[in-house]
Amino acid sequence: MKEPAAGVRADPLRPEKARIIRIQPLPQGFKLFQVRFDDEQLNWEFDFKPGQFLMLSVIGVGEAPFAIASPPSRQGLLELCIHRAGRVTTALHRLKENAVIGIRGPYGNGYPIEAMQKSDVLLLAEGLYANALRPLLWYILDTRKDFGQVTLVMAVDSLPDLPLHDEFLSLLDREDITCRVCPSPAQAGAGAPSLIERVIAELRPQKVVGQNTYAVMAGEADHFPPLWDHLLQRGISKDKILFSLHRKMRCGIGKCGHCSIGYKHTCLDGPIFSYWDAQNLPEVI
Amino acid sequence: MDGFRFASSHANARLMAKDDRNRLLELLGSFGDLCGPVGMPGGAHRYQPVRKPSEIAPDCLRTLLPPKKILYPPTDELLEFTADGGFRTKEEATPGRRILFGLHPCDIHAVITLDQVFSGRYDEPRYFARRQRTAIVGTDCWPDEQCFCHSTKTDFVDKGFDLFLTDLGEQYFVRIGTAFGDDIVRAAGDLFRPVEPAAIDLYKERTNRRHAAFSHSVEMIDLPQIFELDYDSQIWENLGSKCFSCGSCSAVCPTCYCYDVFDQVNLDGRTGSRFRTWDSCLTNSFARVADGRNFRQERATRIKLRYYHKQIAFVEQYGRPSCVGCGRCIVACPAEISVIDVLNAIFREKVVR
Ligand SMILES: Cc1cc2nc3c(=O)[nH]c(=O)nc-3n(C[C@H](O)[C@H](O)[C@H](O)COP(=O)(O)OP(=O)(O)OC[C@H]3O[C@@H](n4cnc5c(N)ncnc54)[C@H](O)[C@@H]3O)c2cc1C
Ligand code: SF4
Ligand code: SF4
Ligand code: FES
Repeated sequence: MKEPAAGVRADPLRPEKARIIRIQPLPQGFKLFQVRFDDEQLNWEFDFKPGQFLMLSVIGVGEAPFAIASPPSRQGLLELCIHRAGRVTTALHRLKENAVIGIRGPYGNGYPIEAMQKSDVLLLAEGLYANALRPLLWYILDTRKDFGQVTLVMAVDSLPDLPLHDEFLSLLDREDITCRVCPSPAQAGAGAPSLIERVIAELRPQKVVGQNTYAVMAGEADHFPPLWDHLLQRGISKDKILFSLHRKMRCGIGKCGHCSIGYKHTCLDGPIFSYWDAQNLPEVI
Repeated sequence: MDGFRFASSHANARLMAKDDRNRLLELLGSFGDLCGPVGMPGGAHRYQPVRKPSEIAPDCLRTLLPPKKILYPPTDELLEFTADGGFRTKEEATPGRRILFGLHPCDIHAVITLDQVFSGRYDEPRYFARRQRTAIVGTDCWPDEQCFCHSTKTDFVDKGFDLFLTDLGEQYFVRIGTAFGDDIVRAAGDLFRPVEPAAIDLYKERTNRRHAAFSHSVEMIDLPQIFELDYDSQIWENLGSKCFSCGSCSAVCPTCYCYDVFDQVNLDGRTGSRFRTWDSCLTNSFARVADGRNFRQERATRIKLRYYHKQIAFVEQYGRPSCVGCGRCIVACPAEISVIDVLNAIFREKVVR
């Protein structure tokens, strides 16, 4: 027989009881949920890195993974920016403030914030994906002195349709970040530059110190390659080009097998990958 | 402790007359709930709990489903929930001890693999609650044409069992692997005898003959490297066009562990449970996500994943492939896809692009 381990094993699959505190409807089928654990102590103990995710249960419906949209520098309350997609997210969008939910986590690797300190950071976003940068963006701004130059470049088709667009617009007035929101293309339809092409065009005149820069991109992974090429030309190393890769997830803890890419589990080894990691993974894109 | 020595160098081995097999099974039954291979009409065997030790078919080579189904049931209740109270871990009702009889070396290696999978950064407490009260009594076997455990280096065990029985014809050579195995031996009265030198010769001879009895040899050493190089091989397309995506190969595999999760609400509408069920990476829905995108729409990419995960990803993660060469997936596949043929084809084929 196998020797029993000392003590009781905690159950990593058991969600903690939590509550929706506030719901803010956003454009494009998104809602911003503010949630808190019922156990007050947990709200202060829940420690995470920007880029990590949690598993949220709508009781009686099911569980799904969501990135934590607020930065760890703002403790006591978690924010989630959630798009209505299928069963779980539709049920979640129907819930009212004060509804009980389940939360477990945090999971995944998150951005390598220790390694990124003292470096310049380029944040690059394509359309609605800009939300994915939110926890890192605010973490950097909240601990601003730890980082070098910070530049945000995002391309959107219509700014009012961007969830949390006013928050992004507020950055234009700040002096500690260079924020470029690419305007809509002059001509629409066929032949118009894609969002990624517009990010690249806007990035071209920016000063980039290759060796000391991290580039963090948010967008549709299939669209990344031209941007990768551009970043490599600017002298950024492959292990400093970061993005998150999402796969179906059932457990978040490396057991259910659903989230694998090649030999990695995106729930343990990701969701944040560097270009260097990803180029050595089969079947990424 | 100066000069202290154990009485015999064979303290961890015994002999037992084969005729006493039922006495052994009775004895094992007194230590816990006995599980073993049971014959079914038509000649197949099922691994299951038994009421009477005599139900066990001790010479069975291969059960349809592996013993993993006892440690990791096909459907498992994970949690109970209430609408306003949150979630509670579901504990198994009967915390008795289980004795798993008749696991072959490949099966024992598979259990060791599951132990690794369910531990790591996060432990799976339901699996280990069962595992910690499970004893394993292994038996050796004689390979048929679907077995290739000598290629996967899982044809022999030196750990992972409480007792292990090797068939020497008239008698069993019994190895004792744990103190609990030793408890059983000491409770057995005259069932076991000390090992005599002639039996050791027989044991060696049996081991050599068995080793020579495998009809297949699969090259496994350079497999990871060849797999990487041959990632886009035509073989996967060919397999993809044969495979029915039925998922049988995953269900019967002693080391496949992927699962899906679903919630069920009770009739009161306020309480319910979360369950997990075995899943298979070969099914179309395995990697499909909310917007209808499927990361592995093509059958060929799914079957490739299965091989890639079992033969390569595992080496990366745990130092050996997860395939233990039991041959169950070969027997179960309605498309007659054989892991032996696939691996050999990957080695032999010229790279076609
Ligand atoms: C690491 C990670 C972070 C995420 N962060 C966010 C976020 O911040 N905001 C947001 O709106 N969405 C996010 N998603 C996507 C979100 O998990 C899916 O939209 C959600 O699972 C859909 O569930 P559903 O039941 O509504 O849809 P259904 O289609 O009914 O879902 C079926 C199941 O498939 C899985 N699934 C479906 N779609 C996806 C998907 N796109 N990605 C992963 N799994 C999926 C889920 O396990 C889900 O339970 C994230 C996904 C991952 C992997
Ligand atoms: S892949 Fe096939 S031969 Fe290998 S362990 Fe699984 S069922 Fe047995
Ligand atoms: S058992 Fe055969 S047909 Fe069924 S999924 Fe596996 S390889 Fe495909
Ligand atoms: S989500 Fe289950 S293994 Fe990653």
